[in-house]
Amino acid sequence: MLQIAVCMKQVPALNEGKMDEGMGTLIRKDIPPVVNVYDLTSLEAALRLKEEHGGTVTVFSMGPESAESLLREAFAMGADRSVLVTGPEFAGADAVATAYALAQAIKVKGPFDLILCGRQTTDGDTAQVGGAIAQFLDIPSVYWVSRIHAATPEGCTVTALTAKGQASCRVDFPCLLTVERELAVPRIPGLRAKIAAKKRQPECLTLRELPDRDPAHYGRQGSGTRVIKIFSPREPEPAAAVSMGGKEAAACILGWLDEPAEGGIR
Amino acid sequence: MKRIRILIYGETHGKGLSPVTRELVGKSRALAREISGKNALAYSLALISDRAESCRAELSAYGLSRIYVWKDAGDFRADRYADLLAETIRQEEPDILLVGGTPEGRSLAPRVAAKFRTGITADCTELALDAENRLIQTRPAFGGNIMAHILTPDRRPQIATIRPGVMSPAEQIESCPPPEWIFCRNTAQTSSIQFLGIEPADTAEDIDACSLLLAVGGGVRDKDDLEMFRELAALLGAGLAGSRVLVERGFLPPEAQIGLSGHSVRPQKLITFGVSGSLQFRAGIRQAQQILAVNSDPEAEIFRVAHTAICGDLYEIVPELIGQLRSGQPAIHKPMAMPRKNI
Repeated sequence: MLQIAVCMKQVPALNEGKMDEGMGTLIRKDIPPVVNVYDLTSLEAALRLKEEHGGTVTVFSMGPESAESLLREAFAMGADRSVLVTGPEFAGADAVATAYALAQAIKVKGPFDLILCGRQTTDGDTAQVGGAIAQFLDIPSVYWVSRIHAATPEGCTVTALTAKGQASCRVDFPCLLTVERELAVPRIPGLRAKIAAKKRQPECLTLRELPDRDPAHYGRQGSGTRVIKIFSPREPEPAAAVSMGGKEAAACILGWLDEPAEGGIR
Repeated sequence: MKRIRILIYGETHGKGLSPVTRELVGKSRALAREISGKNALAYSLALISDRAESCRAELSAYGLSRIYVWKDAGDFRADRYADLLAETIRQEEPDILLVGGTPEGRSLAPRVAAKFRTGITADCTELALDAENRLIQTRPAFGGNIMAHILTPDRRPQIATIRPGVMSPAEQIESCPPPEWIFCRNTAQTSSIQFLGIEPADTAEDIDACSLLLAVGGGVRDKDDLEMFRELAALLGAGLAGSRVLVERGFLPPEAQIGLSGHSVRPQKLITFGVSGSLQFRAGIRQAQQILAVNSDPEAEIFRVAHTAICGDLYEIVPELIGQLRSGQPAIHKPMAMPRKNI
């Protein structure tokens, strides 16, 4: 029997930045929210472990009440419980403050053997929340997990990316893993499961219900970082396409390959 | 004004330093040169490795102030290494901690940030100091579609992970004051992560890790035509990836898909053949440094992001390329000057 927690996030559907250049902020209006695609893999991994070993899968998310739609999607896929950490105190959190709130919620609803996070989100792209959650819970963490081979009541063996290549590691429970998308293809819930999920309510957790109720530790107040400017990366001028035959083009490509790759990131 | 202290988390690779560590030292030295006042900025290194001895000569030539060495820590385990790095931070009290954006660094840094309840900025592509000598961290978000400047105004240390390969590596200085070597006692508790060993490399290549990548798209007519691209990739030592349409047609496995619903790749050089360049595909190549696109349609969207654009037939060009590479002969004609874009 494994008690598994999965952390998920709702993100803007397009990761095409529509920018308010004057305000330096992202225009989120009219961008429909979706589940961070990486988190669907971690939920799928959790469901497979549960199917094999028994236990429960609890999904955690932090966000506004509109994030309930994410949690219903998790119900439809097969999650047993879902918890939404919500309230004005949590708004504007950076990665560390987000991790702190999620770790507090996990403490309230735990204990868990295994906590799974997606590799990263598609909006922030930071891949930092998982590691910080593990630190706040004082449990080991393994990043970049591409396979979970075997789990026992005591721990699991995984394949994870290291500096030396793909390595296998054994890690005792409780622990946190961040998983790569190749680990599993997320299931598509059937219509009946979707309808059933609509009737289920996620559990909400507010600041009052967390062990640490100091609002200074959460949201913008609890965040060390400040975004001071957001801007569009410089687009190169569209390159004028030059028509070439096979020989000429091949020579051009070989010459281009010999040039240093200067220029850097746009 | 108080002296600024930077601590660099060093990594070793084989017997020497990891390239990203040289890059972090190079950037620290560039920042030191930028700010006014002699000795206004000092940079030191934390090295959790048994290989410190073999890097000794090199490390002594970078103008580092102090080098903290932790031996016998065993293989990388994020929890244990975070304890050791945190201990180093307590000793050094740096204003800034720089960590390479490697698999290790990116799993280690958020744990350290949580320990100190400070700010962390992931995968930075540029660093600078503001008028108050605070670190301005530049990083992409939304798959590289926007860039952000991020500060950690009050909390210390300011922690940043830096994308490998974007900053210039340090050069060795002929005569610089030698660093102070501090050999630390390994006090960290054991980890419940047990390293079992490296797995034999998968034959499927990792398109995220390629420095030269070929991407093919809907212009490829037949599954058998992929053979010539495989041959070209092998001749060039490049990876082979593709757009969603080729994965949907079953020409390529999902692992090889570039784009919003696939991988975001960051090669130094990318060549696309027959890729139309939808918005979704372009989102996946934003972090490629140089892009050369081949397409038969002069109006193809891909040319909006290409640095070099060739309008031509891939079925003429690719066999010609393979032929030239096979014969080992350099191009007969000097490549004509292409319209290069300043970016």
